[in-house]
Amino acid sequence: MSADRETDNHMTHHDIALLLADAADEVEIGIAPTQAVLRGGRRRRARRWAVAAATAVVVAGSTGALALSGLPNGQERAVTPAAPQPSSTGTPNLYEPQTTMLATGTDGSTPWSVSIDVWTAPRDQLEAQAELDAMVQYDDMPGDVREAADLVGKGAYFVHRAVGEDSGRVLTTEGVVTKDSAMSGRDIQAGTSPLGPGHDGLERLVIGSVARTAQQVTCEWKDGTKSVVRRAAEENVINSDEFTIRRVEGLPFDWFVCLAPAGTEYKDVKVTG
Amino acid sequence: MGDRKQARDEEFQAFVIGRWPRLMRTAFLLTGEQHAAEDLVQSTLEQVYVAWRKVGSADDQEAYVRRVMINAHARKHRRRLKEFLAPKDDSGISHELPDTGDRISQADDRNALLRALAQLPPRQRQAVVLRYWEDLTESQAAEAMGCSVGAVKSNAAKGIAKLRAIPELAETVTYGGRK
Repeated sequence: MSADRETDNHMTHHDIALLLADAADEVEIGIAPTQAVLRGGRRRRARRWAVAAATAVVVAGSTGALALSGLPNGQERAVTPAAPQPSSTGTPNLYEPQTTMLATGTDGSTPWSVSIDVWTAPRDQLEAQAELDAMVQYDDMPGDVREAADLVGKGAYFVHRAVGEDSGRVLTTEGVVTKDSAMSGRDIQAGTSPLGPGHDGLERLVIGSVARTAQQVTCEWKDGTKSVVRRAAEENVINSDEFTIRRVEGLPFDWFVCLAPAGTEYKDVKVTG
Repeated sequence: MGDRKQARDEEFQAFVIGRWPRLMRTAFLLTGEQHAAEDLVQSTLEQVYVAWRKVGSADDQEAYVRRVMINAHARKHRRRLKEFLAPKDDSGISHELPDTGDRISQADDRNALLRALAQLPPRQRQAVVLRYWEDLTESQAAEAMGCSVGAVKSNAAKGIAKLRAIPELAETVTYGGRK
């Protein structure tokens, strides 16, 4: 790098820093709402414990696998999932998500997985509030939901990826669904991201959803190669280390995951069958 | 016991008062909007309060708070799947910016920068704000964003390149580092 260019770079970054400082002055600072923060903090702490207690009540008899969940403060910790509530009551389980493993694998020597939490649709504001309180425990907060009423009649999903032996889950995408969210034909919604922190930053991971009728998805990579994901012949006999189009209970569309070979990244994805 | 709790709360309140202005400015650059910035800072500090017993005695409280804020910002602004698959072509800056004809030609740099920041994907915005407003090193920014140093470099470079491409800023910002 030439001296001139270093100078130019320096100038550029310096100028941008000045512009940022100038723009930051636009905000009205106001008085710190210490009491509101304290109240909110106490509420969060209380909510955390209340949900933990409720979970402990229904955990007996659970045979579920260990799931990882984030605390509200961003820390990761292990949580044993509670047993599903009896369906005979007709009451939706508002206290825990249904977690489905979408894909697992090993990249080099690093294990990784992608899973999805699905929260059932609450029927009224009371149920929505109970569910939001439970979501806090799992760090599953829908981005577009400002208050309980916003969640009534809507299911919510949160896709996480985990990379490495002891790593926590990283929320990758989320959304809410209604009865009208079903997909059809060759509809596809998908996103890409690097596999995880510390990786090469290439957008290798593709996660997406397709119509219940889609039989095959093709992910195309920038090096010209392709990965084909097919629907499993029988939904009940899926090995989780196979890339397949998967049914996710509680959502009106199915999911797939592709991972680009090392050194290349996402170019395109479409339903091809 | 009650006294200790009260002392902790007082310590936390002093922390909030001391950090509020700086956090508000950072949050404003991240969100581009007054109320969103207030929400982000308040939500961040509420989360810090939950862990205050641990954070209050930590060596680097700033780093913890930054991490919480960036997490909260990422969560709040996490793109839905539809947006998530928006074309990944970073060279397509023009389609991500307001039409030239829609811009007020006399808009000042400050507003132009805020608009430009708002157009950046969250990770690029975070990297630019942490590196050039918070003046963090790449490794400090990586820690705050929970990603690799390489990802910070890449996001900051892409973000800066997009900012440089804003005509209103062109007069102020030199083009030396541009490819």
